Amino acid sequence: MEHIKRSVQTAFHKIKHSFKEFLPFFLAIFLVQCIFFTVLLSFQSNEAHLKQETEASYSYHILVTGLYEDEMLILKENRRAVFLNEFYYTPLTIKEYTSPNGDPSYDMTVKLLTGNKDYGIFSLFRDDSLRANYEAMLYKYGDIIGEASDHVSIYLSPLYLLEESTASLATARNLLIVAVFLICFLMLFVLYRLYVSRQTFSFGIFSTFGADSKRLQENAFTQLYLIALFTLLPAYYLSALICFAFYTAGASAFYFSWFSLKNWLVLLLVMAPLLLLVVRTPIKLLSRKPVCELLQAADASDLVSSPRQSAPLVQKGFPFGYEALSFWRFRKHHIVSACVSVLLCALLVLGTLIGDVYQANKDMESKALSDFTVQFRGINSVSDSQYESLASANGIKNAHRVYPEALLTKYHSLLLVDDSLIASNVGFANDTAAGVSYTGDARIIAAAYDTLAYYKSLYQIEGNPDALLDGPNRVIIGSSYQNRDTFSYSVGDTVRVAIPMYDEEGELVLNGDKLPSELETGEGLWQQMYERISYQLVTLEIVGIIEDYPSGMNGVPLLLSTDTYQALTGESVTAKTVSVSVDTSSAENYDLAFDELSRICAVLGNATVSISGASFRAEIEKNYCYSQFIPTLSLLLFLFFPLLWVYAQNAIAQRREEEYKILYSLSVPPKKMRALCLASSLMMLPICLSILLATFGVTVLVLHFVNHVLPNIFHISVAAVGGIAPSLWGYGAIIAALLLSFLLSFFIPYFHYQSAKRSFSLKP
Amino acid sequence: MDSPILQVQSLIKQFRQSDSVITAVNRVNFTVESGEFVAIVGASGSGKSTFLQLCAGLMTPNSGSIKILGQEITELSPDKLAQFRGRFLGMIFQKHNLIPQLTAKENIEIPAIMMDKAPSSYEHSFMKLVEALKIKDRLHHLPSELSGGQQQRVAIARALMNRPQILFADEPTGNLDRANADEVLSLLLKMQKDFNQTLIMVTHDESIAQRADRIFKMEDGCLSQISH
Repeated sequence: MEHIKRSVQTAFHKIKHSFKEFLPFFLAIFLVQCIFFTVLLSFQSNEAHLKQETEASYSYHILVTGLYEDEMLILKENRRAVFLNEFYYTPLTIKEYTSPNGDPSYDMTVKLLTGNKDYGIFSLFRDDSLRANYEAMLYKYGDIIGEASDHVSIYLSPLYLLEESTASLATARNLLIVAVFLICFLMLFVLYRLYVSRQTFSFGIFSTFGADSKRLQENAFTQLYLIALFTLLPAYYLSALICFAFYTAGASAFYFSWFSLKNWLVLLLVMAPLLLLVVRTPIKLLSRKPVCELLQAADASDLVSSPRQSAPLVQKGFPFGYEALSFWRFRKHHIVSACVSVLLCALLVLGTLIGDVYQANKDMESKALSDFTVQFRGINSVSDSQYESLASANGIKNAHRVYPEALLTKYHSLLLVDDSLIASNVGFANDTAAGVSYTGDARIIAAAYDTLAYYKSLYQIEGNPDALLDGPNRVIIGSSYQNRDTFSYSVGDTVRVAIPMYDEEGELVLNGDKLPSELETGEGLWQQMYERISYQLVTLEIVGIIEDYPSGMNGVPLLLSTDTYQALTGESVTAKTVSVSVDTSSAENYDLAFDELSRICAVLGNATVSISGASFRAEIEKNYCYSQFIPTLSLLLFLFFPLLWVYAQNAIAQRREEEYKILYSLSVPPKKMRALCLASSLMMLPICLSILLATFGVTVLVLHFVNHVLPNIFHISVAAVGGIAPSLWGYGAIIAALLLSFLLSFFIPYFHYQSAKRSFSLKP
Repeated sequence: MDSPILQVQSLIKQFRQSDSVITAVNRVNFTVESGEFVAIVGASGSGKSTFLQLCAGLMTPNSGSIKILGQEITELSPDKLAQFRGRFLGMIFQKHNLIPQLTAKENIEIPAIMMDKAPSSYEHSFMKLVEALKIKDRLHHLPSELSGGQQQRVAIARALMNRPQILFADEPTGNLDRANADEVLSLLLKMQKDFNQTLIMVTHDESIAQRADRIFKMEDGCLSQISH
C-alpha cells in the first residue's frame, strides 16, 4: 500500500511539474475515454429504450391464437398442473371470435413465470427460467399449442425475446469495444512511443540509478492512469453531450444517468490493460538499449536514422537541400505518421459509408415491412374476395398476396438485353463438387394487381406499370445491377429471356458438342452457355422500369403477370399467404389491425394470423441512431489525426531547437529561416497528398466490397451505395485536417525557431 | 586476502563507424580492491570514459569479463543489471546529467525511489548528505537555477544516495573552475572515506590524479598502471 501511495505521489508530482509534456496525453486519454463512453452510453441508452418500450408495449410473453373452447379452458385453468412448480404461466387476456359456423375461436395472452428458486444465488448471473418455463409449457400442452395442432399458432412477443435482444445488443457493444480498444491502443502506442523517444535521457538516468523495465513501466503506467482518473468525469459528460446531440439529430430519445458509478468503474477497468499495453513495449525496447546510448540520445532516438551525409549548409543547397536531408533524417517517423493518418482517414470514410449503407438498408426495409402474415389452409390459392376482406381491415397500410418467385438462372435461363449482348453481368457461377450450379442475380416475380400495387408503393416505377396486367409477355424490370445504373433500356424496348430446352429425359439440349469439361467462370460462362445450349427465346416488352430498386439486395427484378410467369417458368402461381403491414402513423393501429385481422380470420374460418413484430422492431431500431452513431464514432477516432500530427511535428521541431540556435548563431538570415520552414511544410505536401489518395483508394475498395464482394461472394444483401457522396463531409474533414497539418508543418518549426532565437543560449 | 571488488579481464569494446572499426578499449585487465581510490588518466579520445561506462554497466562490451563483488555483470539481463547498479554502484557524470524538470531534491532522491525505499528510511542520511555537500538551501531549485558547482554537488549527492559500494566518477570536476573543483573533490574524498567506498575516477587533471591510491593511464584503448 505504501508502495502504491509513493508511486501515485511520484507520478502526480511528475505530471504537475511537466504538465506541458503530458498535455497531449491528457487530450489523447480524454479522447479515448470519450470514445469508450460514447459507445457505452449509446448502447445503454439503446438497451434502456428497448426495455422501456417493450415493457410498455407488451404485458404478455406468448400469444396463442385460434384456440377452440375446450383448449382455451385447459390452458386458462392450468388443468394439467398438479404440483405448485408445474404452474409455468398465468393467462392474461382472452378474446373470443365467432367463426362462420358459429363455433367460437379464442386468442389468449400468457405471461410466463420468472425467477427460478432452484438456481438460488446463481439466478443473479443466469436466469433462463423464462425459456425453461416456455419449454415446459410446450411439453405439457404440446397437443394444443405444439406442432401437432393445425389451427393454433403461437407468437412469442418481444417481451419474451427481450433477453435475447439485450444479449445481441451486448454482443454488438462488446465487439465494438474490442475494435475501439485496438484502434485506441494503436493511437496511444504511437503517441507514447514518440514521448519515450523524447524522454530517453530521463529514462537513462532512472536506469543508471537502478530502475529496471518493470519499475519504468510501473511509473509510466501510474502517470497515464492518473491522467485517466483526471479526465474520466469530463469525458463522461462530454460523451453524454455528444450522444445527446446525435440522438436528438436522429429524433430519438437518449437515456442517461448523471451519476453512473458502474460506467466509471467499467471504463477504469478497460483503461488499465489498455494503458499497460501502451507503455509496455516502448519501455521494454528502451530498457534493452545500453544506458549510455540513452544518455547520449540527442536526436529523435529510434525514430531517426542518420543520413551519414553532411548537409550542404553553406552551399546553394540551403535551405531546400539542407531541409531535404532533415526530412530524410526523420523518414521513419514520417512513415509512421503517414500510415496512422491513412488509417484514421480510412476509418472516417468507412464510418460515413457504413452509416449511409445502414440508413439505406433501414429505409428500404422499413418500406417493405410485414407486420402480420395471414396463412390460409385447405385452399388452392387466396381468392380476390378473401384478399379484399383482409386488405380492407382498419389500421392497415397495405396487404398483398405472396406469390412464388423464381431465380432466372436456376433454370439455366439467361436474360438477354439485346441480340448480341448477353446480360453477362447479371449473375455469377459457382463451381461445386456436384458440377456446375448457377445462382441467379435476376429474380422473376409473379405479380397480380395487389402485388403490383405493393411494388408501386415501394419503388419509383417509370412508364406504365399498370399495363403489365393488360396483356401477355410484358415486364417491369429494374435498371440497375449491384447498386449501379447498368441498363439503359426505355419503356417499349424488349428484353429476352433465354430458356434452355430439355429433351425427354430431362437433359439439356446442346448445340452440337457436349459442354466442355473446363467451364469458364464469370462472364465467359454465360457466353459459353449461350453458345452451347439450345435456348427458346421469350421476348418481353418493357412496360415499366424500376429506377430505385436496391439491386444489391436481390439481383435484377422482372415483374411478370401471373400468366406470363407460369408460361415462362412452368410453375403454377398460387398464394396461400397474405402479407400485411400496419399503418404506423398511429400507435393504436397495431392492436387495431391485429384485432381486425383475427376477427376476419375467425369469420373466414380457414385462416390464422401470425405476428412478425417487424414494425415494433423497426421503431426500436430506429431509435438506436446507428446511422448517426457510426460516423460520430469514426469522427471521434479521426480526432487523433490532428493530435498525433501536431505532437509529432512538435517533437521533431523541439529536437531541432538546438540546431536552430546554431543556425541563428551562424547568422542565417530570417528570410532563409522562413524558407527553411516553408521547405519543411512543402516536403509534407507529398505525404498529405498520399494520405488523400490512399483514403480515396480505401473508399473505392469499400464501395467495391459493398457492391460486388458482399452480394456476389458472401450473398449478403445491401441496399444502394452510389459513390463517395455520403462521405463527402468526411472528405471535407480530411482535407481540412491535411491543410491544417500542412500549415502547421510551417508554423511549428518556425515557432520553435523563434523560441530558440528568443532564449538564445548554446548549451555547453 | 579478500577477492577484489572489481575485476576486469581481457575487456574489448569496439565501435563501428562507416567502414572502419575503432577499438576504444583493447584487451584491458584491471583489478580494484575494496576501499581504494583509483584514478584513470589519459588524453581525450583515449577510451577512458568508455572504459568507465563499461565497468559501471552502462555499456556492453564486445568481449571480456567484468566482475563486481564477484558478480559477472556482462551476463546479467538489462533488468538485473539495472537493479545491480541501483544497489551497489554510483555514477557521477562530467555533464552532471540532472533531469532538468526535477528539483535538486527530486534528482537526489531518484536512486532511493528507484530502489523503492520509503522516505522515512533515507530521510536522515539524506539530510546528512546534503549538509555535507552544502546544498541544503538549494534543494527546491531546478538545475537551471543552480551554478555548475552546485549542480555537480547535486550529482554527487545523487550518486551517493544509496551508499553504493563502488562510485564511478567521469571527470567530475571537468566543468568546474579550480576552486570549485578542489572543493568538490575534497567533498567526494571525504564521503568516500566516511562511507568506506571504492572510488574509480576518470580525470585528465594530473593534480587530482595524484591524490589517488593508484593511477592508471589509458592510451589508445590500453590501460597501464603508472603509479602506486
